[in-house]
Amino acid sequence: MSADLERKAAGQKESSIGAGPLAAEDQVRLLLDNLPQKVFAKNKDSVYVLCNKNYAEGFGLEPSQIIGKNDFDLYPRDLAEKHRADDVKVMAGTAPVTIVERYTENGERRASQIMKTPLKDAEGVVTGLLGIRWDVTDQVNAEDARLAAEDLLRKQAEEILAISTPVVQVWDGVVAMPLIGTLDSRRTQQVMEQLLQRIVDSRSSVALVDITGVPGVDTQTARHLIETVAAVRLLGAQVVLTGIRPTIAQTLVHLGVDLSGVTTRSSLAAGLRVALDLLNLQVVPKDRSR
Amino acid sequence: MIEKGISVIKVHDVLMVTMPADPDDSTISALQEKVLDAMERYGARGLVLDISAVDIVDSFFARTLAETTRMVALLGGCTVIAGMRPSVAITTTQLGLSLGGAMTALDVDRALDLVGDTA
Repeated sequence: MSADLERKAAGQKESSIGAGPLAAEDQVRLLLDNLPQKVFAKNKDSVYVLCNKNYAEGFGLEPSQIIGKNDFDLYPRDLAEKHRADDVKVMAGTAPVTIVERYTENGERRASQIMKTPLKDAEGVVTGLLGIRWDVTDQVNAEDARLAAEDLLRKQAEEILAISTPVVQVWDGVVAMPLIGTLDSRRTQQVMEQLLQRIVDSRSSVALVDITGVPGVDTQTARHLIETVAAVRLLGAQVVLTGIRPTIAQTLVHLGVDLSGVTTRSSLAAGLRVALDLLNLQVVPKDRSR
Repeated sequence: MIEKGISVIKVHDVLMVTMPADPDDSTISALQEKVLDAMERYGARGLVLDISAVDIVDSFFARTLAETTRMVALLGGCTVIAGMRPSVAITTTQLGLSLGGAMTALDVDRALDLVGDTA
């Protein structure tokens, strides 16, 4: 087909539609020029041999003015180099290549999708390529918006994670960490890092980890808690696990979780008592007689 | 006496060993030798190992620490590992590495207290 079009492009007069042996070509020409997409064909040397009205209009030219030119005549140098490189890649392969190209026109960001496919003759030898280009600005904008929303969600999730694990100092040498929400692996990592750093910074010997706000404790959560306890011990501090509600106690025993190496209490207050004891401290009423 | 960056100091009857940052495998191996050597020479009853400069502990280091602790125990001494960094503590826990029964302390000060308590 490209040989015919080359002849035609060389300046043969177009015959009217429906009459004579060139009728089929006229119909193809009609089809091409009515397509909303931009269509072009290049030869092996990346020289234009065909294009439709839509493509030519983009340069303010007629199709006949595009024939015989190459990308360096039509596009800025860097873009032309890119197109040339793409052409080489396409003609070296066997399958069509689709590229999304973003550009700015009149200050507006737009995007086009370009599909280039190699053209072969009857023997299967590559003679050039065919390119179809159409506007995908809306789709690209929608995709960008979607990615931005996903990114925002991720950032918000991280923020929630950060707010929900505060570590507070309740006494000299005693820090408390009330955990709110489920304890998954990622959260455990964050919990451990925060707690350990705080213990080092405050030179604490006891950490009260309160799980009143943790809705459910399964074997996984228990394992994470035991991990946290072990890590704190390595620093030379101790953990008192507090806020063990009766239902949690039931679950843990039924699951066969071994928390025997950990000091546990049902409330934060009880945990504080243990902490003071560990520090050899005693709380006594003020002497009223003074 | 400082060789390969490990310092060994005797404080009363306790050995104070400080590990340098980023110890290589030969330095870690040297630790064991030096400790045992010093334990014998000074008849120390405790070992305080300061690892506050170490930011990465791999399984080889952990194993050496655990072995050293057990060896010191056989010689009648106790071991306290001091100043472990949070990141090291987390990695050690997650890798399931054991320290062979060594005690731990936030810093060298408290480590010395601990050794004193076990007198």
